[in-house]
Amino acid sequence: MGIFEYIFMRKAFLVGILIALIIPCIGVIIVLKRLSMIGDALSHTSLAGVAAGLIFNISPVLGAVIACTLAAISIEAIRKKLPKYSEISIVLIMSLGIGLAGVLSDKVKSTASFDSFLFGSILSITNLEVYIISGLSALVLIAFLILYRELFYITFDEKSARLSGVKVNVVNFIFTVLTAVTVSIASRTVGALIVSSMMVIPVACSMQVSKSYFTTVIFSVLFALGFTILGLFVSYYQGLKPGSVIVLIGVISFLIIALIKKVFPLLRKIKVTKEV
Amino acid sequence: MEQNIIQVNNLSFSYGTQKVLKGLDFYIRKGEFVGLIGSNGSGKSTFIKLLLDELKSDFGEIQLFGQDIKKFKDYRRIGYVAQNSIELGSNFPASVLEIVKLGTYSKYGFLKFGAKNKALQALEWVGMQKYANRLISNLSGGQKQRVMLAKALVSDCDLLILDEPTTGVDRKTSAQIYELLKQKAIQQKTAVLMVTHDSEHASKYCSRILCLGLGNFLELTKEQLELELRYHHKHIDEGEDNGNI
Repeated sequence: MGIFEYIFMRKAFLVGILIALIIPCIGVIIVLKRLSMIGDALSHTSLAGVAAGLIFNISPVLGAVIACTLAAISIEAIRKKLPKYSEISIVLIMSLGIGLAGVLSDKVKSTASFDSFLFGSILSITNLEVYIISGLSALVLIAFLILYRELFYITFDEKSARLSGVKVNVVNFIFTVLTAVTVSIASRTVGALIVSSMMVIPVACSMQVSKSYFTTVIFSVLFALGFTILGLFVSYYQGLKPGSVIVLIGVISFLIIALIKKVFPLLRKIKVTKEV
Repeated sequence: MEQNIIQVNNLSFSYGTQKVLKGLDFYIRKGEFVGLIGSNGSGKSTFIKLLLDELKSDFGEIQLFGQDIKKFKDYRRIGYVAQNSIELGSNFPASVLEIVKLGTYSKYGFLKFGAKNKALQALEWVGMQKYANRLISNLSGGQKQRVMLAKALVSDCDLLILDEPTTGVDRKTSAQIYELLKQKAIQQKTAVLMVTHDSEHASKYCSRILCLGLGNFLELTKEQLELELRYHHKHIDEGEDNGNI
């Protein structure tokens, strides 16, 4: 039987592609603002939301979205108060998230459901979750495209953006919510422990080859799509965890690109020296 | 009579117990190119921060375009190049053209049509058009400064505030930038306020030069500035350069 004859694989590919479209869009801004750790903080906090969702019998994804949004707003608020120590806000919220997740997970009856959020469970996604993830992904993508240049301006120079009339606080708030939503739905699919890697690695690969902000965004999305699709194929045929395989493919790709970037100029130099 | 673009009356500011500005008065009119000189730590950048509402004064009044700074919101009318703008481009994956196009933001959002041509024109003004598709992070400090200046120029603002925009720029290009700003002031009636250490070019191109010292401005005539410059050069020749005027 072919891979696409299984409904769960078709759903996995659909959700994987949606996640691969939105994570790098958020990741570009996060990386360029030098807040890469925010993905970790939010994904750990999302676990607290998942646990709360399972305890109170509401959708764990919805629980994760609420917990992540609150955490992201808190990080932004602390970052504003202590702009020179933004990493403190991230560590504070991450600690709170991990603590809460640990305490609440003890109360969860079905530990299997909770554990599925650690490494993700893209293969066991329900129809309702597919609808939620599709809707939220569309929302994140549309908002990112509408605010594309404002986000670019703020990320490059927040002070100038403010002076030029960009509503910096509003855009930052919307972006915070978008980040929270993205992390929550990505936790369900690739896993809470892997989300921040998915945010950073495609962007890191893209920055090695791109010549503008626009191509950085495009290449980041293409890399994420490539890692996800290849990761799903490999995990299906090898019986491995998809989230982990996707991230490993990303890391290996980054190393290969970095190596090529180092080796190519050297080879060219040797060739020129030989010709001389 | 036409209102001043900036009007500052009796402005005082201190960092804790250290008084930086003491009862300072200042104005700039449409089409004026004012150079602001003074030694390091004299309060030039503090003055700029007060004008941009980044710092709050202890005492005194600032009016921008005839409106009290507390009520003023229309900062789009002000183009600004910061002192540390060189640092902004480090490791940022954006092309020079993309950065300059950011300057086209107005109350209607970013320019939908014509932004590219405007940005290329501004890059030509600062002699950077051939770098349009380069990554900003691959440019030298002086080149980045010129890109930031192009970004400010593309905004069609009524007031340009520049905090040492020619830092790291060679003398020939620096002279071209001064000439460009002078023309901008004359032809488009833009008010240009420029903090600089380059007294020589300032004396040649600026319509007025103010020296900030002991917490207040002293307006220098071109003759006074030339005297100061001669004194400064004499000390350099004698190996006693103690910084800028």
